[in-house]
Amino acid sequence: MSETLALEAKALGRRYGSNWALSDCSLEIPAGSVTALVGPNGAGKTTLLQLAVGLIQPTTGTISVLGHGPRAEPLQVLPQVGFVAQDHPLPRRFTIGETLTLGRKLNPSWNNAIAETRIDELGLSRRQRICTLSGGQQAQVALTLALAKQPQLLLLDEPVASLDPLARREFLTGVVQAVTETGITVVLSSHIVADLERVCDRLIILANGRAQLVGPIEELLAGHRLLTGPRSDAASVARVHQVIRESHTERQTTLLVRANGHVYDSCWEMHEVDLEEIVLAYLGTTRGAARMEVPAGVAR
Amino acid sequence: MIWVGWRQQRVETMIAAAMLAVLAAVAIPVGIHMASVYSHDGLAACAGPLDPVCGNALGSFQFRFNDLNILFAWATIVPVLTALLFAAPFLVDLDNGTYRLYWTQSITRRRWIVTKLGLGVIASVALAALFIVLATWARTPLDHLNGRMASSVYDSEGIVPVADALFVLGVAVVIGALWRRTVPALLIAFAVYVVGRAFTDGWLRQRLLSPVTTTWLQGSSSGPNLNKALVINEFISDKNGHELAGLPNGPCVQHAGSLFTHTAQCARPNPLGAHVYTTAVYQPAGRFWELQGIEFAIVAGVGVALILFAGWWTNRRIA
Repeated sequence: MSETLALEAKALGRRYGSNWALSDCSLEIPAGSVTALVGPNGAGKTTLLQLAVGLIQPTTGTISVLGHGPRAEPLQVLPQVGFVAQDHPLPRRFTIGETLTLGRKLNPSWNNAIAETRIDELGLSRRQRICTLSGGQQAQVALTLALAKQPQLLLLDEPVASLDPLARREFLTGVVQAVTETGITVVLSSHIVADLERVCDRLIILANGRAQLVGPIEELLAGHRLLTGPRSDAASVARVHQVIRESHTERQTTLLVRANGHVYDSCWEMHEVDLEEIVLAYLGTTRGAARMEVPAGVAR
Repeated sequence: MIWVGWRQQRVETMIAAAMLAVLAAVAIPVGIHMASVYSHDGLAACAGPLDPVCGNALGSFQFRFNDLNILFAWATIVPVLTALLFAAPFLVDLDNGTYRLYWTQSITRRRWIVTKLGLGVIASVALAALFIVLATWARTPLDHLNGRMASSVYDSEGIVPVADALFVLGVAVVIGALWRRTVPALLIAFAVYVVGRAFTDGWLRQRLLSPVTTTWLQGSSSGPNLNKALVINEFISDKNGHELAGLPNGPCVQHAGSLFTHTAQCARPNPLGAHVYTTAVYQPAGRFWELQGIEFAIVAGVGVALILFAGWWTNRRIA
């Protein structure tokens, strides 16, 4: 364990009433990474991020952020974490200038130059009221508030879900810019996969309250293959490789596998897969029916 | 955080100040005018037992300025409404989710709660105090004549309005903390206040201290002066204070705050002859501050307990 961890969850669980939003979830997020947290609605993405910033408390297990418990030691964690909640809440009656003052008053590590520069770059005026801004502009102001705090870890909960494609692109560009300038660790939840590949280098697929797949995106892309072959012999492939999803037509079988080395059998035609297909395959296996057990070694 | 809390409460403070300013704009000129009429007509001398000489002047004075009494009876609601206004910033942050913004800055949740609720309490108490000063000053001559025990006066003078403000603030923030809906919380808090107010006016207040019971020969001048007292019950009785059934006691009952004297109709000859007595159960006017103190302790105590509970709940239970 030489690399430092920005976030570490151990057997983390959170229950709302009788419903477990997150259960027995263990994962690690190394410092310096940009992690995409992907999963369907209700998979526990928001729960995980709110646990990380201490807005909610775990029912079971522990979570540690930059080495501290967010709820037990809020003043160790909060100044180092920038958090943009879902729908980026801001005080609607404040002007942008007052919102920046708010950030300055509530954060000892506040860097006003960062905030002012970003507001200028966005072409916004300090006198504009929050309630007059578009959704994209509000998201940008919320991001500005989080970045001017100079955090080590930036947690973004569905930051682009409510934005149009242009605003989405601009927002993510802002995140990328912050990453290249400061080397900040980012965790970004989303159910839109397409945007993430450009921004993120690690992926966590969250479904049914657990991490189904964790790893660097490059490795995941290299490790998964789509096999097409005659409709016969899926079982022999499954002996060697982990079959994530299989589908059959009248004459052929298509398998999405996590490959253990090469596929030698020449009767299978092999294709590379993109991230979206991998995500959909993992989500497809967990949907509906009985919970799929996390294969050993996958979640770590 | 104080800057943020104050900034969020600025609009509410301006609305509250405007409400008080409108009330003052009406009450101060009338108050000055009334005070000059009062001293010009020498009515101060009439206070106390009824004097037939200045009875007419007194009656017309009361009639003329009764509107001010009515105004302040209604205006008792002002410190309550402003307390609800000052509850709003706390409720709004919980309602629309902006608490998630504040709680993820570099301050503890406890500091946010203490600042928000603290500013709400300070503003509510300050506004209620200003209201009391205005009401008490403007109504000075009327209070001098009629006393302050009638609920229309009692509820807007002394210290009870401060307690009412704390109470309604407490109800609003508790409902807001539990339910996280601003408008329903404020409406329910107001409804709870109306019910609670009816309860204290109609039931609780007369029981805060055990009342005085006096029996006197009807028609004689030895009875107590009940004009300024809070009369709980008044009935025709025998010498020992036992109520005589089957007699009309309506005309004798004088409700506190009424502008009409009670003695005129009681002085009628009664069918049972001379040995009929009147018994009154009442809180004497001199107990004004004692009653106010006890009522304040109860109502403000409940209000502060509710506010503390809302803070505790928000800190421990929300999310």
